[in-house]
Amino acid sequence: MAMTRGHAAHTAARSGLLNCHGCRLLIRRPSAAGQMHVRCPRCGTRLHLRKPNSIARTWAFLIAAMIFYIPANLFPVTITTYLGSTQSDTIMSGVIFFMQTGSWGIALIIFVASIVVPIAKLIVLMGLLLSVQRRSHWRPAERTRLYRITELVGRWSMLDVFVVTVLVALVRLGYLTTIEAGSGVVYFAAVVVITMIAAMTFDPRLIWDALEKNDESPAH
Amino acid sequence: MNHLPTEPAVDEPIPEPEVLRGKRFSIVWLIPLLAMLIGVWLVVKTIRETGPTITIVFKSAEGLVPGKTEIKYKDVTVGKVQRIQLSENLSQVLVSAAMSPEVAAHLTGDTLFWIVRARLAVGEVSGISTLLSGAYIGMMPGRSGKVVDRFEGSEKPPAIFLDTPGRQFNLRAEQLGSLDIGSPVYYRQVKVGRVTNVNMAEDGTSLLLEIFVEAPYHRQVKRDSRFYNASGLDMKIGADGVRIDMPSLASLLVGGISFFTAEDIKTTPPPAESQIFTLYDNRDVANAASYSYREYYLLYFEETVRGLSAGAPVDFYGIKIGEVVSIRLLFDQDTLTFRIPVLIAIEPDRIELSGELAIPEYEVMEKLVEKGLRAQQRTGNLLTGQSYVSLRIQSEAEPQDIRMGDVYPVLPTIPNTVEEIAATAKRLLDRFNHLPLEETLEDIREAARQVTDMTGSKALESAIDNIDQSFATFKKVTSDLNDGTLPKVNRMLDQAKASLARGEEALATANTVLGEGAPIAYNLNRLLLELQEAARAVEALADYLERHPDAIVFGKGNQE
Repeated sequence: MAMTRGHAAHTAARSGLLNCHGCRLLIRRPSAAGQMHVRCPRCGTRLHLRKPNSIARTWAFLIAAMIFYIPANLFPVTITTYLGSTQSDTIMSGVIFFMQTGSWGIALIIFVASIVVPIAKLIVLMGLLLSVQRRSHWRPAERTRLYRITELVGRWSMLDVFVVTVLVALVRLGYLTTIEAGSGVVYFAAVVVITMIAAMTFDPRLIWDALEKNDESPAH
Repeated sequence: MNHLPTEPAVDEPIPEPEVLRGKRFSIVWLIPLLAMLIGVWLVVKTIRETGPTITIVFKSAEGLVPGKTEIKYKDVTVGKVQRIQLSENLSQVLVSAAMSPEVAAHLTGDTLFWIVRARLAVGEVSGISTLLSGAYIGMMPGRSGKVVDRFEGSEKPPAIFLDTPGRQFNLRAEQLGSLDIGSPVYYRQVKVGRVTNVNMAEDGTSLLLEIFVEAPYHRQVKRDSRFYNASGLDMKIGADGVRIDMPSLASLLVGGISFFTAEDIKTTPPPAESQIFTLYDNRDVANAASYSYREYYLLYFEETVRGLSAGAPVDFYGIKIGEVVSIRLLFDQDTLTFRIPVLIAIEPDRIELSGELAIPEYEVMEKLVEKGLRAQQRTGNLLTGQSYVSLRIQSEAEPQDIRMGDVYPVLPTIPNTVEEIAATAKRLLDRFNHLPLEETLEDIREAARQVTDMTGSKALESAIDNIDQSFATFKKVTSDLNDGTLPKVNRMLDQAKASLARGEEALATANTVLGEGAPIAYNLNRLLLELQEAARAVEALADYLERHPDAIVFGKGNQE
């Protein structure tokens, strides 16, 4: 990709062609590229040059994720009943608990997986969207790599949710100790899932569109 | 994999796609909208679930953990401790707690908070669950008053919850024995309440106990109910053997109070609001102390009270209705006189009423004093000089009112009987003084002279002659009686003697027939013995037949 950074890159769009992402059939781009939907003549897959409505959709998911991020951090994720006394922990209080008890490794893992990664994802996606909307020419290759990492790493934020579900299922010692999932887990899982969808709806090709000379607005 | 994009298909005419009319509506924006709605709902819910924050002052925060310790009412969590701080002068602990909104309206000034820890006491084990879960704060919502946000917490749970129906009573005790706050109160050996508070009287002479008797048993406490310390074992060895009085085992260990109401002809009224009962040491003492409700009055005597002592009876129409409590000597600086205030206690329950009391009790005495009720010191025993206080109604007494002293109402008094006698004697002597003695002596002398004159007269001599004749006639009559009548009577007596001798003979004969060793009696005895044996044999037969009814048919058979 870095090699093809040049302006005169050969892309399907430039050649007036479309690639069916169902059967990979190369199709000529329709001349009347308005608000039209295009179907592959061979397999019937809907065709579009770029992911449809990518920026708006990504924004929508991003905003939803940001809203859910607040209760995800304010509400407890685990409610531990230990010998009759209950204690509810949010993500951050759990991190602090592990830090205070000396388990720096676990604290770090939880901190990175549950706090750093979601925030980073939100920020990265927001940055990408803004840069695309502003038709920025700034370091498209790095931005694309950032996107790839974001998409790759997103699912690992579910780690926290898995930990909670496993704990809830395993720690059922009756009166001694019980762990229950707090409502925060639901919102946190929502944040993770929605940011993953947001990353999927974002089309990295938009980063490169801005670089192309013929300022042809890409069809959806 | 057959149709790789690298296939040289570029030369072939690239097919035109099908073109469809697109619809321009993106439902993707519903997602952030939904998120927004959820967010708003969460905010509203959180705000609605947030109750007031209150501060509870405790002496110590032992066992309290911020963010963890809960506040419970009836074991339902109604709040949570958020922060624990020391007061500015470091003497107290300020516990801030977030309360749930449903109890917000009940956090009035009389709300109670206390720390629940495991408590192990004889007769009571509580809060065991806190051993593992840690302490929590118990709460008893207030009943009335303004809602406040600062409360005084106590270390111990209240002995009686505010919503427990019943009534509180006050007792006065000489000593506490094994009683303590929480000690049970029994009525007919049923636990009906407990001691809620123990205080020393201000002057240190006695202890004041507050007890709470639960409904419906609080109605059993009457004005003349008697409370006694039911702790411990009461053992007595007396003429009727050993007697052991033992309450329930728990009260044997932790002590307790029992009460009873003496059986009486009339129904006793419920106790007065401010009545203080006496707590007796044991049931016998309580039994002996007959009337526990007393009214106190002060009497001022101005004469000697020699012979009057504390405990001397106060009587009314000769019936004891109370006793003297104390006697003091009072010197009045202004008038340089001595007065003797005597405190008496009257036990109104000793007086029975015709029907219900129509006017308040304190007015009864006022009315009686208006009618002439006076107190008087009287000598009860002339030999020992013991005296007593007598209340009497003197209708001719000059009108006086009952008046209120410093503490006790003062009853008017009248002077001692000795003084009264002296006064009467003086009056008598005065009258003697005024008698016309000289004239009387003159009269007597005159009378004597007239008598002398009479004895010397003729008439007297003839009278004496008449008497002589009468005596002669009498003598004749008696000699007649001697000669005629007496011999007949003698004969009659002889005959009676003979018949008695014959009767005696007949009795002797009877004796030989019926007496001991007589054949008839012996035979009768034999007969009775044989009859007894026969009855026994019949009884044995009946018994055997009952067990072996077939013996009638088959005979007695073997031993089997």
